[in-house]
This record gives sequence, structure tokens and C-alpha cells, in this order.
Amino acid sequence: MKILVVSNLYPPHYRGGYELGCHDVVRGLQARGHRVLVLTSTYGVSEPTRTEGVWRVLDHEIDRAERLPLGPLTRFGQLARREQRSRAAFLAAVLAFTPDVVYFWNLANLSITVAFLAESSGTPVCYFVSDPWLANWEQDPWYALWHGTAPRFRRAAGGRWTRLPLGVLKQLPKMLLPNSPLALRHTQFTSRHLRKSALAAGKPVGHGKVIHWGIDLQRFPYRERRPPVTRLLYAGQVLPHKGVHTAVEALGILVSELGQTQLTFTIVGGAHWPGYESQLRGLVESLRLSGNVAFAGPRARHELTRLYHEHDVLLFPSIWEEPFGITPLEAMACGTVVVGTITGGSAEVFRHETNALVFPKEDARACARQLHRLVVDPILYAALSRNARAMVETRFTLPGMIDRLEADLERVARIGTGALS
Amino acid sequence: MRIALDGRPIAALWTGDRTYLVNLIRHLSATARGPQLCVYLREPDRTGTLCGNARYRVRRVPSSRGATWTPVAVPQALTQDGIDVFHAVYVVPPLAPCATVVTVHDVSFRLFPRWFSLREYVMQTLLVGLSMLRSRLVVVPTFATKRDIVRTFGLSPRKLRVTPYAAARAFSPQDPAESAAAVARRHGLTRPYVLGVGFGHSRKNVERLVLAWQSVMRNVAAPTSLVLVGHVSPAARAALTRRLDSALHELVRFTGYVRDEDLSALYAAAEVFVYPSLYEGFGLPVLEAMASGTPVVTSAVSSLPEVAGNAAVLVNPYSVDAIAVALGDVLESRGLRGDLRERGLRRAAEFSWEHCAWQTAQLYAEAASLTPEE
Repeated sequence: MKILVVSNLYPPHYRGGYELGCHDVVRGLQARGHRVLVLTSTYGVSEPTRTEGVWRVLDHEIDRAERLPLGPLTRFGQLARREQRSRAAFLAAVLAFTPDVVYFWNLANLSITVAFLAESSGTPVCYFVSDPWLANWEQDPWYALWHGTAPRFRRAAGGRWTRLPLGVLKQLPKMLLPNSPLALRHTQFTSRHLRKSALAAGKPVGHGKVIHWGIDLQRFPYRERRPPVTRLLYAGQVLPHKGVHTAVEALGILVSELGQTQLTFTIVGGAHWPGYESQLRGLVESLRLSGNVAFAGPRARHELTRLYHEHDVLLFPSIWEEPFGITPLEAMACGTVVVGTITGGSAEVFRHETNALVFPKEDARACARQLHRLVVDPILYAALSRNARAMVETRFTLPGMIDRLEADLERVARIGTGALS
Repeated sequence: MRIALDGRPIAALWTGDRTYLVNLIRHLSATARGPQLCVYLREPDRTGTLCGNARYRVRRVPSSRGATWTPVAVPQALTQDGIDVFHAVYVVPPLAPCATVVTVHDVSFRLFPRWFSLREYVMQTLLVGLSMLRSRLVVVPTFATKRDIVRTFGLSPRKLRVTPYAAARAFSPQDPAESAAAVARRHGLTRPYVLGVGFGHSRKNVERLVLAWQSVMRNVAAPTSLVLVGHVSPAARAALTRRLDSALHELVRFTGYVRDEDLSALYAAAEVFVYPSLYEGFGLPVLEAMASGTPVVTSAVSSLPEVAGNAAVLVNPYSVDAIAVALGDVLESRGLRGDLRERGLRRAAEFSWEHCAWQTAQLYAEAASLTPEE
């Protein structure tokens, strides 16, 4: 099968687990004899590049948090250029590769037009959804410009002299974008929570399959720990909605109120939002935790296993609706006990007092209570560690995930070509 | 999504509420994908701050009595305008027809009731407490304030969101010579001087600052003046002056309130900025001084260590000796001043109103999506 994978980011230039998982799956599919071409953005490279199996040619918008306000004309020009390049790049890839199926991963910050082009091309299309982009795809700025702002503008400026030029303007969206929404005939979600969110947002994905992430157990081997529990870890992007501050505050409670001065906390991850890391550093200073907390910055993926093995507890204090959470699965595979929140998809993995300990989001005191239980109860710690590994082995392995994805993609390709009615 | 903001604090010049709202509106309306804003006012904006643009409009919501504006007039306007989220500072309507978000800068009235009259204490505790209970989300500027609210009101931490403030763009490093000239021209001040800002409330700890400065000046050959910005009542001035040695009387200057542009020059020309406040929800002057390239000495209590990070000398604000030692060290050491200046500039640059506005816009979306019981 020839599979054209479209992903906004792709290693070695990445930010989070979504694109790392994409890389794992692409390699897994290639190992099973499928031909895969990855179409991704120019994120991390200075100019468009085409190498064997990976085309880095799509325009990627930087995150809203980092984007400075632009004037309307500059913004329009920027978007129009992105549209033109994205269309050309996608069509070139389809013509050159002639895929059996177009497999969309993350389209956040890419032009949604490529999905419209794919759906109208006749090639079977499947979406693998591991964050909320699909539920909010109408927020694509080009789409929103024509389908959101323009009608409002027309209503507001419905005067006699503006009617004719606006009448012309009204026809433009039809020429540039189809009026119907994305069909989304074949979708795969990494959690029931994501499918529910997309359904709640009115997307026609009731038929979507739930295929949980899988972990490469060889890369993340189990290692038994011995008491005492002293080393805490956070691994992930250092962003406000990841709730790292809750973990720091919990450590403050453990150190100052419960006398657990031996505890250390390593924060590993890139600070894509510099203001937040400085907030955290200020919090660490104000709680007098400078000797207990280390900011280790971003680490290469191959270092993660060692980090999990060197730490006793992984903190996962997320406050947003997590799509799924790959990091906790990796840590659990390594035997590192997870203490976290069950927001969003995490609830499908964590079982309180069975394979993890959970606490309400933003509740530092509850987090500290759960951590303290691990510190004083080595039997509980050992049981959680073993159960977590067993759960990953039975439900969340990478080969198992690729089996399900492959079977579903073959089904999509067959339906798309009319081989199966 | 349609957002309405309570814009009344904009009329109160020289306050942190005004600074917060003005910067929030300015940056929310400049965000590429920001919400549609409507700013509600009871009286016309006589300060000329709000002019409206394509992203926000200003609406006057009339009310015959001030007391009925929030509970009666605002809910009517919210219904008429089809607003999704109403955002106010401290107090929201008890029966709003939409989601509400409340910003609480600090809870000094709960922690230090002695600074307030009984009426102020009871009213603020009731109104702010009910507003926080009623609101879907509560916005606070620091984790310290969040902890204070959880401790004093017993509010669930799940409702609280931290969105730090920042120094306005008017505060930026300036040429010391130019700043000194501007300061001399506008206020008749000559360098060198130590600067204190924001007085007019007991918590600002002006008395200990003055005594600490006096303690340092007694031991130096060439004294440095002390410039105090903000409202200090004539009685308080007289009381402060009485506690000073007569030789130092002439060296203490009170400027009253000054505009941000002038304040920036005052910061930039100062040898050191001292802010020994006993309690702050955020402590904006610390960041403003840092952004102006001025070394900072501040308190090691409440939110101030969190805001200052490792870019200021932190002192026990209840100890005159501790403030004096820190002030003396900074005045004596050019190297320490240079180091603090560099660290302060870096620290101030880590905060921005763009981020604050972006975070707040995310909170609006979150508040609109939450059900009331969440």
C-alpha cells in the first residue's frame, strides 16, 4: 500500500508526542512493506527540502502565543501565500507519489485546504486524531476569513454603495473553498475523549475508531525500584496548561509542611512559552525550593528512558483536557509510578490506586498527599509500578497499535477504490 | 465569542486596576484571533483612554445609582448584547445571564483586616467572596495570590488561573543622562537618589523605608536623596519628617502621582528602587523598575519573590535594619548594581501583556465551555 502521511511536524524537528508517534508509526508501516511518503512543514528547516520519504514543503504558522499582531493586509498576504504554496505542494506530492490512501495526522497550523483537496481528489482519506485540531478545524485562518469574517462584514456593511463590490466578494469563497464542511468519512482517534469532543463540536465522526497509542517496550524496558522514593520528574512541554506549577506547589507543601526535604524534582522539557518558565522559576524561589528543583531543559528522545529509570515518580499534573498522554505510558512501561490528573484522555489509562495515583487538577495539596503516600508506603509504590507495566504490556504496545492502524487503513483503501462495497 | 468587560476602573487614574484593564483591552483587541470585546462604562470615559476600534466597542450602561449598576443594569445589558462571558475586576453580578470571570488582584482585606475599616472588610469579603463563588473562573496574577485565596476563602484551586501581568511598554531602559535631565526639568530633582513608589497605603511600608534610608545616610559622607512617588497625605509627610534627623529633611522629596512616561524617567535616573511592601498581589512597580533598568530591593514576602525571581535583593520588610543593609550594599557596590540591572532587564522581558491577553482569551473560551457546577 502507498500511504501519503500529512503531519504538521515531523522528527527530528518536533515539539511533542503527536509527531514522535507519527514517526514511530511511519517506521512501523514501512517495516511491514508499505511505501510511505511524509508531507510535512518547513518547521525547523530554513527552506523547503525533499528527501527520500520526507518532503518538508508545507507552510506552518507559528503558534498564536508567539505571533505578533499583524496588520490586516500583511496578514492577508501571508495567508494567501500559505494557501498557494500548500495547494501546490500537496498536488505535487499526490501526482508524484499516487497514494492509495492519504493519511492525515496533525493539521494544526497547516492549511486545511489540503484536506479539502484530498477529499475531492477521489483518493481515500483517513484522519488520525490525537489532539483537538479536528474539533476546531474551522478555526483555520483562511477558512475563517471567508466563512466567518466576510459574512459578518457583509451584514455590517450592507449599504447601497457597498452592495456591488461585496456581491463580488461573496462569490470569492465559493471559488476558493468548497462550501460544505470536511466529510471526515474515515477517522481514527487516540482516545474516546477526543472522539467525544469532536462529536460534541458537531463533527460527523460517530463511526470513528478509537486506537490508543502504543509504546515500544524494547525502548522502554522495566526496571524495578527500591525505596526510598526521592526523585520526582516532569517530562513534557513547559506550558501553563500542563500544570507544572501544581507539581512545584505540591513539592513546596511536602518540603515545608511534611519535612520531606530529601525530595528532588527535575523538570525536563522545552519552554515554548518563556514567560511561564520564568513564572515557575519565580515560584521555586518564593517557595525556597532552589535546592530541590532543577530545570533540565529539553532532552533528546533517546535520553528519556534513562531519565525515567533515574526517577521514581513521574508527575503528570495537566490541567487541560489531555488528548491522551504518551509520556505517562512510557514512564509506566519503565516502572516509574505516575501521579497525575485524569483530565481528558488520561482517564482511559490511569486507574487510581491500581496503576497510578490521581488528584484533581490545580490541587497542589491533593497532589502532595498522593506523593506522600508513595514516600511512606513502599508496598503501594511497588504494586503500582508492577501493575502499570503489566497494563502497558497488555493494552498499549506499539506493534498492537500498528496492527489496528494497518488493518483500518487497508479497509479504507479498499472502500475508497470500490473494492469493498 | 462576545466578551463584555467592566471598564469602570479605567476612570480611576493611578491605580493598578486601570493599568490592568487598559493593557488587557489594548492587547486583546490587537490579537489576531481575539474575541469581540465590549467595554461597559457607567459614566462617559473622561480620561480619553477608550476610543473603540474594529475589535472592541465602548458601551455606556446607564444606572441611576452606583449600587444597582452591577446587579441590575449590567445583567440587562448582557442580555441585550447576547454576551457569552462577562469579565470584571473583583465584583461580578450575582445573577448574570452568561458565564462570568472575575479578576482578583489580591486579598489584602482578608489577610490584613487591620488596614481596612470594618465596613470595607465586611463588604469586600462578601462581595469578592460571592463573586468568586459565582464566577466560572477566577483570574489571579501570581501563585502566591492563588494560595492566599485558597487559604482564606476555601475556594477550590481548580477555579483559579494565574495570568501574570507585565510592565507597560513605556517602561524601557533609557539613557541615564537624558532621564536625569528630564527628571530635573519636570520635578526639580537631582541625582543621585533612591526611589520609592506607590505610597498612600500602610502596606507600602513607607515609614520603615524612610528609617532605613536615614540609617544608611547617617554613615555616608555624600548622602543620596530619597524620592517618594505617590500620594502621601500632609499629615503622614509631617509624621515622617518628624522622625528624620533635621539634616536629612531637605533630602526627602515627595512628587505626588506622576504619569507613566515621567515615572519611567524617574526609575531610569534612580540609583536603586526600594519597594519594601508588606503585601502585594503582584507588585507591578518591581517589574516597571526592572524594565527601566533600575536595580531593585524588595520584600521577601507575599508575591514579590515570585515576581522578582533572582533579579532583586530580597529583604525582610518588617526589619528596618535588613532594608538598610540591603540598600547600603546596593548603593556601595557599582558591580552589584550592574548585575541587578542586567538581571532585572532579563526578568522584566519575560513578562508581557501580549501573553497576559492571550492567556485571558483562552480563559474566556474555557469559561464559556464550562458548565456552572464545574
